[in-house]
Amino acid sequence: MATTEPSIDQAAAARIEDGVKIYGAGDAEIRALDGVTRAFPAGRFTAIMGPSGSGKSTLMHCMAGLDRLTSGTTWIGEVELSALGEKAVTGVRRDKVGFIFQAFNLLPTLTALENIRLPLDIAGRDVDQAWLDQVVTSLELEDRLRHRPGELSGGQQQRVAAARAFASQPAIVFADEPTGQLDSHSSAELLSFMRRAVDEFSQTIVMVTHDPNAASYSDDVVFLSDGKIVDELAAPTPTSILDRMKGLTAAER
Amino acid sequence: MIWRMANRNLRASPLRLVLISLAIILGVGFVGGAFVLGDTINKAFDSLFAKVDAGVAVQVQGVASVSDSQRQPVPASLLPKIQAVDGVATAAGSIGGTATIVGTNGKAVGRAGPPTLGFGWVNDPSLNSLRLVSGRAPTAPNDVVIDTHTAATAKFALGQQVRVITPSGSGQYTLVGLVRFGTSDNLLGATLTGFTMPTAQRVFGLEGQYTRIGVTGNQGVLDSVLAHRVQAVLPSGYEAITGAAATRQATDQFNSIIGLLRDVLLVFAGISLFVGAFIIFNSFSITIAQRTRQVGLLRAVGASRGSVVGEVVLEALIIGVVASAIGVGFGILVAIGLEKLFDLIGASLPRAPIQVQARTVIISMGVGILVTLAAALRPAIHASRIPPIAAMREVTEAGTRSLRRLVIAIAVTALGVGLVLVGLFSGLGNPYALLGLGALLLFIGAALLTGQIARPLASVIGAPFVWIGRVPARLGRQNAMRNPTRTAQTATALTIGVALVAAATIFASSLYATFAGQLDARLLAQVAVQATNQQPFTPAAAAAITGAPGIVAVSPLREGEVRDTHRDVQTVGGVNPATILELYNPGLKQGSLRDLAQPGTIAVQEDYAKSNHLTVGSTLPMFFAKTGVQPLRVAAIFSDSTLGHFFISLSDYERNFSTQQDTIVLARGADGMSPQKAKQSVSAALAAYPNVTVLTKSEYKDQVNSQINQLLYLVYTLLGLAIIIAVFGIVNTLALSIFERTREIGLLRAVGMSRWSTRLMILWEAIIVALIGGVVGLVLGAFIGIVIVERVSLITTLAVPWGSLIVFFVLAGVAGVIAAILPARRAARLNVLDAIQAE
Repeated sequence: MATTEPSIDQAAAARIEDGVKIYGAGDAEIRALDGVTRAFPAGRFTAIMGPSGSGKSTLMHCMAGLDRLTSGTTWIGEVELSALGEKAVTGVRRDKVGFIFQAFNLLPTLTALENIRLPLDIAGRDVDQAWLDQVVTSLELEDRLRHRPGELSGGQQQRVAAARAFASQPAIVFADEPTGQLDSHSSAELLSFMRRAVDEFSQTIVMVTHDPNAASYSDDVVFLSDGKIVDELAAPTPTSILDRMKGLTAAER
Repeated sequence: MIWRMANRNLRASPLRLVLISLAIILGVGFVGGAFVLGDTINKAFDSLFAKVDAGVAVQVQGVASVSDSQRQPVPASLLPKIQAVDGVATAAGSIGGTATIVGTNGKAVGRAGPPTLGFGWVNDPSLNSLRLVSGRAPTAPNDVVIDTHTAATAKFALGQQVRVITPSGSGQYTLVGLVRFGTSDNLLGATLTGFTMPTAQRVFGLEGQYTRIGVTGNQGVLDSVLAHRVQAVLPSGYEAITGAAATRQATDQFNSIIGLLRDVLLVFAGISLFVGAFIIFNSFSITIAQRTRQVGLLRAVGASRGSVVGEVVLEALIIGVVASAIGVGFGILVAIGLEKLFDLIGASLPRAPIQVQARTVIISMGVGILVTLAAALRPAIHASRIPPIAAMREVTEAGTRSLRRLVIAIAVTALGVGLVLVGLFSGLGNPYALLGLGALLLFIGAALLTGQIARPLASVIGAPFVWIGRVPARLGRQNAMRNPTRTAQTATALTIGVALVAAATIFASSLYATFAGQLDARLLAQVAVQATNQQPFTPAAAAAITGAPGIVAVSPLREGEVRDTHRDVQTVGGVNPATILELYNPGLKQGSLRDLAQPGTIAVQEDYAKSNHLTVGSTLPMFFAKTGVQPLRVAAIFSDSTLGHFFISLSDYERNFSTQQDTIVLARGADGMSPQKAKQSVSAALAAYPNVTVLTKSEYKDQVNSQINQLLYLVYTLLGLAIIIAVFGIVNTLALSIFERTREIGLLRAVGMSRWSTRLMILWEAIIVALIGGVVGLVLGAFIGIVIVERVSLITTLAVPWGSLIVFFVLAGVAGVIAAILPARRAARLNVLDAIQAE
């Protein structure tokens, strides 16, 4: 079923092997992930797609250390998350992972700059000022740094969230429907930045989305259905994604 | 429909329900407890005295022409006249006075406070308030009976020798019997001693006299009729009252003490309820803010404003009714607990079943429900103003700073300050009511004002913490600043407790500073002699010191009550004119205390002399219970008031008063004698009087200081309740705020904040809120304390105990730490994934 399988030996920013996640028990048992194995190579922008309930968010949460697998293993770089305790996982999230959520990415009491620096401040790490400036500039946030989230538009807020995700130069950035609440113009701005972060700054991104247009910014698209990887697509375009999705729904029938 | 909504909303947040209920339960509990305890003690004394005096039809006693303590003894010669009255069955005199028992360890039995009572044994059992428990009644001059409780605690056995100190001195007696007072083994810790009647007359200095005469009537003669007939044979100055009236008089004395105790408890219960009201108000305000969309939706689908108010009020009513009912139950426990406390300190109360009167239940429930409703009313009205459109809008945190609010805050505060000042200094209206109302407004105004300045205040107070505590502290400070109104209301609950504690402490330390200053300036004596139980004691002690080696000056202070020309009761002190000026510097303005040696003279304090236009040589008529009006010539005018406002000579005192008991004896040694040496000499001379203690001037100061501190600690304990309730309030606000910020906490945890840091963030927020309460409390407390000190003319030195105030500030922070424990745990344990995805 998989067409272009990237080799596991290649330097992976994150990996999952035999990932199984079960919610509930007995008759109410739901297998949100049912034996997923995949490596997410460094320096690539991967999109995860699938219908609601396909397990795409669960996959991201488990890989990012926000949730735990029922069985199987996950790695961030060389660190096996599934072997770590709560405290260590928190540390990995702080030091190696960046997040962009669909909404509510920012603390309302902090300014944009404070929000961007938050993971660094929590870690007590020094800021790489040149890198921070570069991120802020490419997101066109220079004039907004002193504003609080309440004074920013939705698109600006998501760009601040993106700046925060990349500020600490993490090993990998997970984005959960980052454009879900944005208009098409703001979406395009954010996605272009994410694309450039991978191309120009060699960042690694895993993005969950249901929007073919958003997914078309990625290098690879992984299709999930019923907790399994059912298909992959490299160098996607909106049309090729739509076609593949139609094929998948047809195959299910 | 609104019933179901109210019910749902209450169940939605059990923690909030428990916390605000606790605030009401504690407040109502103390209201109920105060009434239950008061009623129970009253009932106990009523039934005790009713039993004790059951056989007395009529009682003959001196008229209280000056005061109860100055009733004159009844001459024994009246006894035959009374016995001859038609309808009288028997009549017998009785005697009461003070008699201190010396324990086998050589120390006086009994503790500070309760009296040591002595009696003459009355052979007619229906007229004798003592009941024999074992042994026999006293018959020989040296026989004595004591109460069972004292015998048990001091380990006395029948047949043993017992030393007893009476007004006439110290004597050895043989213990022949054990007694109790009516049916009670322990009368509030008082000790009882019974002598034969002739012995009692001799030791109490009442030869040929009785304290009172009890009369029993023949069958079929009404007590009131008999009292009339007996009254007819009495000379003026004596009265015949029915047994029932005598019982009432006896119990009234106790009841006024119990009433005072009840009122004090009620004041503190009121403070607790006031603090509770803040918490309820705050809790409803927060939950209504959180429910804005829900209320908007209700309005959008057609609920009227009235039904929105109704829903919130109903919610408050349910809480109020349930919590008040539990509070009444808790109040009964409080009363039982306090009764046990009396037992524990040895001042057992006579037993009576716990009295829960309908009045207690009605008042306690009513107060609890009213406070809850009143506190919920404004949030309810606020809720009804939420427009239907709010259902569609994102919830925004309201900006609360506006000029109008600031003006209102300042106006309320100013009104509070004004009322406090008017109440204290103007002499208009009821000062306590004005002071109470003023303080109430002051706290409400302070809450409003704090809302205006909470942001900068939190910023300043939090600055050092941000430096220490980094990111969690910075986030905590920002959380404390984000909703200033909420922060202010939460902090104010603590403000009230801190302010009252600070005010009480300033008052107490000023009182001590004044006293110590006066003692240093006025007291020339090196030692002071006082009874161990702080009651007046036998003049034999002063006599024993006079002539002790090296001691050159001795004077007792003997205090008694008189009425002046305005019919006001005044306390007159008897002193030794020859020595008093060597022991005490009264600040003489005219004449000299030495001139009191002249019979029929009096020394008067300056202020009284001025307002009554007295100078040396003027005549001041005073009414004495024993001798009637005496035109006294003013021999001296003095400025100090440490030892009282009027002095006469001891010989005049002896002439004009029937009981001779010293309050304190002052003494000093020859020049060059150290206070310690003087103390040794005086103590040696008092070897036979273990009922008194000898204190040097500095020891005396320490003793007064520790007495003031004891009272202060009692006040702290009672205010502790208000502070505990305030801590509940902080817990409640934190819990509600954390609920509100679930997604923020989830986000923080997602981007790498540890559980521990999450806890610290909540902790810092709580500390900052508590310290805001502390700072405002200290400012208000200083104001209240200082104006009260200024008002009380007795206190002339203002002492601000900076050390204590700093400790209170720190303790306020500690209260914040305690309040944060549970909410912080909750916040740290939030599931990250659930939190991020929370609605």
